[in-house]
Amino acid sequence: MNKEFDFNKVGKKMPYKIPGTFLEGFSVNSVSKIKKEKRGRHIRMHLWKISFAAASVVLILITGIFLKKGSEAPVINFNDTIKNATISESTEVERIIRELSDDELTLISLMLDSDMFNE
Amino acid sequence: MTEPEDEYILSLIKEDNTKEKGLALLINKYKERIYWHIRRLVVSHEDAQDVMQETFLNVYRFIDTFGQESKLYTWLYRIATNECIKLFRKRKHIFTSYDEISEQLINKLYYNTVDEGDKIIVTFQEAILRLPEKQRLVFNLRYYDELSYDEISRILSISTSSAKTNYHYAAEKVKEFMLNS
Repeated sequence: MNKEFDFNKVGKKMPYKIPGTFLEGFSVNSVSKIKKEKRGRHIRMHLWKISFAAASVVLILITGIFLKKGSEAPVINFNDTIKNATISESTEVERIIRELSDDELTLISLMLDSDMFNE
Repeated sequence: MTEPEDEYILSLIKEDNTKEKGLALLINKYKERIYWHIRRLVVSHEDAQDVMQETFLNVYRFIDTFGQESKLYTWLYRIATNECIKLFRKRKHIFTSYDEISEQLINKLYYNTVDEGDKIIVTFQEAILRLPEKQRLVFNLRYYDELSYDEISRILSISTSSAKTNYHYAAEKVKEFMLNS
């Protein structure tokens, strides 16, 4: 005899329940986590800007050194070029640092402390 | 109270100053449906909670890439399903085979069951948890969420005919398990 199983006997009922007020609290928790994530992104963007500015300073310094070595009669006043470039980049870095909140600065210092290359 | 339309929610999310409000509406509208989809797959509430949190964080991260060629809930199911699969892949490092993961889920099923009186419902869940992964995903999406084969194929990145075949085999295996238990 070919027996048939009736899916309607089971329906869509589940053997578990959603604990307490999980779903009510979930919306609030999720939005606050999203806010945190947004803030994290903001900090990462600032860090990226600082790293970019620092890399630019290093690049200008290296380029300056090569320029100095490569030219027998330097037309450019090397010291002034480096000084001016460094000042403008440093000003940008300082401006970004000034814009950071105390929390962001603390986070950056913690990240720098835990940097694997920072030994 | 009527639920907000998806178009309205998406229009809020598009603007920076109303993005959070839009996301809150989206979460409120779909949280229960997505929760049950995840819970059916991962079984324990704790895992469901983690996967659901990650799902909605991903929604926030990637909402700008949502192309609107599919429905919003189909996209949510896709993200939630991917997060569940990610969890199973992580567990695969602990358990050597899919069968072991399946056994672990069945143990969780009996541990998490609140309604011992309704044995047939628990056995039915066990039958589903014994299915191969793809069949289980297709079966849940079709049987519980009543999604079309076309929607299932988009969620799982499979063809519509593969979705139909997987459902057919899954339903046969579930029937067989129920008749023999």
